[in-house]
Amino acid sequence: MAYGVILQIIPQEHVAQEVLLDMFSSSELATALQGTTHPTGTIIRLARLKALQIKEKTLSRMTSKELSFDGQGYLPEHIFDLSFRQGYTPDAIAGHLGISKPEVLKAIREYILMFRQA
Amino acid sequence: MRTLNTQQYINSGILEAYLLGLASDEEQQEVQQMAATYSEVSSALNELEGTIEDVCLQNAVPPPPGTWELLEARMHGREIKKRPKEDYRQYNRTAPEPEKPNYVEVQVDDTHIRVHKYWRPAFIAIFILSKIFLVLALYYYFKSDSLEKEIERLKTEVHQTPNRR
Repeated sequence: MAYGVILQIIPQEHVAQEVLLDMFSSSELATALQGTTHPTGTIIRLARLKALQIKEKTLSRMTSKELSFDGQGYLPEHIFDLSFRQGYTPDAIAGHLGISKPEVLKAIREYILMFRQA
Repeated sequence: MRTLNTQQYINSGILEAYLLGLASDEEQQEVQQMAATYSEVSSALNELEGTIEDVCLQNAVPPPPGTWELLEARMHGREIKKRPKEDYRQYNRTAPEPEKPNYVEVQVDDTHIRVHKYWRPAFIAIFILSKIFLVLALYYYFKSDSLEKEIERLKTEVHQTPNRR
């Protein structure tokens, strides 16, 4: 599951594998899982965080923090992609799209609900 | 605390943002506080975690072969040559895959090897059989030796018998 999350952010398999190894061999995971009532969420968050850290280190694009939308509109899937896979904050997405932050959060919720209904 | 009712709070999308790691530190604390205070929020969070787990499982990809062994080796502190950090810097979404071998070099510096568990009974069986064959070989060697001596004795006796006549 964690590898799938990492791969969504870093498509290069060998880099994704290295992130996975780094994640599971570090003490961060054990510390994060201690006392948590949501282990799945913890693993997802940590996998995403690790992948984004590596991605941010390697991509100068991330420093510019410029969003490109390519006319894809405000689809929940696209907003989810920007926030989860590309690491933009809901505030940054809201600011660029000219919508409110609650609308961004609702779009993310809609995307998750789409999977529940599918 | 905001004066939202719990259902509005659940429907706001903040729980999804929290579980996916998109919420700010302040929002994370708020969600944890809300979950501790309101059972509806806590149960919604649990339900949502199940949904997100399903989503992630749908998109699950098995790690490349050998990942578990590499992880095991790393956990046991064996010496593994990590790829240089530059490898990460070379990463670019638009760039082609680097022409590096898709493996990690491993230096094995101990004298032990790992073999399949069935080798143990095989070794024991071979050991027992070798002992049996050794005993049999010694038995037949001494038997044939004694028979040879007996034949020699009989030959000598036969040769001596006509002389007596």
